[in-house]
Amino acid sequence: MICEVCREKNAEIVFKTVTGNQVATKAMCMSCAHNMQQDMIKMFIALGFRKDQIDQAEVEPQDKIPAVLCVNCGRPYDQLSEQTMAGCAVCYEAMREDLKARMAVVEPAGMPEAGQDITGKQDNSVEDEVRDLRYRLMEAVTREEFEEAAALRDRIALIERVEEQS
Amino acid sequence: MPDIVINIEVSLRRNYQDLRFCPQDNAEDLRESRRRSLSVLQTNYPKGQVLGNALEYASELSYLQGALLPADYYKINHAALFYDRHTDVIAAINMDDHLVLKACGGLEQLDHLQQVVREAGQAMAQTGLVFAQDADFGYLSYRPTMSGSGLFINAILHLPMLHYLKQIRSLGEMLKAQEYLLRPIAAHDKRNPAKMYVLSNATSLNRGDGVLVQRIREFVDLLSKREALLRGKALTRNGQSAFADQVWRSYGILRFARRLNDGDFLNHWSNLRLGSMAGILPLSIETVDSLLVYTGNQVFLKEGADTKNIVGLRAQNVRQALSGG
Repeated sequence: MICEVCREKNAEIVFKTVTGNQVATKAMCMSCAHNMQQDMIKMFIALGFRKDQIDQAEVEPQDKIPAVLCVNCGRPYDQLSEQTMAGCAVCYEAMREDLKARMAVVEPAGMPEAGQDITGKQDNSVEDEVRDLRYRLMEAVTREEFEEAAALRDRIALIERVEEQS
Repeated sequence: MPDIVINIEVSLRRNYQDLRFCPQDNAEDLRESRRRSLSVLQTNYPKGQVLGNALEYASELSYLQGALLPADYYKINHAALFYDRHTDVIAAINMDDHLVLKACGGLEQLDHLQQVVREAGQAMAQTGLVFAQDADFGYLSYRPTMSGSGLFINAILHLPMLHYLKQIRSLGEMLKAQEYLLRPIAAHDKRNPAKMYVLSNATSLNRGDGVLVQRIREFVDLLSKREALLRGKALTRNGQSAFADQVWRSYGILRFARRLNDGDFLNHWSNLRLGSMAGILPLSIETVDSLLVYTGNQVFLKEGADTKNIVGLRAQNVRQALSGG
């Protein structure tokens, strides 16, 4: 296949660009790919990204080899997470230690007693006050009472500034 | 019952010891799982029936009974839905775990629903079926984090004010820390126009049924109080607040609209229910909840309606229920 950019050399890699839901692929030679990469780095720096953030993004994630395969159903298992699926009852042998560790913390420290308020936040906390003010601001805007809205906006900004400083 | 509660579903999850779990999509094992489950269910519930397609499902189950089931369950490989109208036991087969026994009702029936699914589970086990079990992890699930007693409680809640004022995420995080989940019920376009959420236990590992029931009641109570607090602030300003205005507008639209798609309907339904809960609309919550039957298309399709006419029929039925023009 010929490079879709210079249309001279043979294409060696496929460059995939993802923008929102749209995916565009372009086959290109190494030289054009390098040029395109440099252009993209310049674009990201212009957008305010730091060089180290871009370098990080350049590293291609390696396909991880799962630590264990189930001897019964062949399902791979690496590490227990909420998304992990078991293929059969035997798979649990591979996850036993992880699951046991999870079982040890099923009742987290600070578990509230029955009937106790679990929100941990009082209604008069700063966070609640700001939330209340934001709600009133939204209402004022809806009523088109912009003077009141401006006063509320300034009050929210003041509280947030004081919070930030403290 | 707190007015935010629309429905409660209690389910019991089981998998067969000797068969590969559903995600493996092994046709032979799935076929065998379906055969075993249906054979025992039909023995235990001789008057029950397999709901083989969307129309049978719509004829037998209410909107709320099926709210947490996959919409196209009959398209899933070797899946089946069994319903016994005499005991109200529903069995979902091969939809995620091999067998999920369910019972639905109100919050005041929670203890009864838990007993119903427990008895159904025991009756299944007494026929000699061997379910996957482990001394450390209890009954095994296709999701290891869901292993344990297998009992899950789902409370379908209407939380419009917490939704509008963007407090769901922080409450969800707080609940997650206690190993309970608060998730939106998304319509098919991935939005949540009805502002309905499901509160459920994330795990049943090392949890007795009594603790789960008690915690769900407590969390429902907490969410109910929070919702009522915000509702009070938003709607009790002589009916002049922006929210009250939205409630009245939705009431007008539902009473007189000529066309309603399901997203539009759910959005206005939610405002209607908010108005009913706040006592500013002359409607009972039961009346508002009864409108939910018109959400899906099945209720119209089973009457022989053409797909093109459903938006009109939905509006017509809702108008009649609200005695509009």
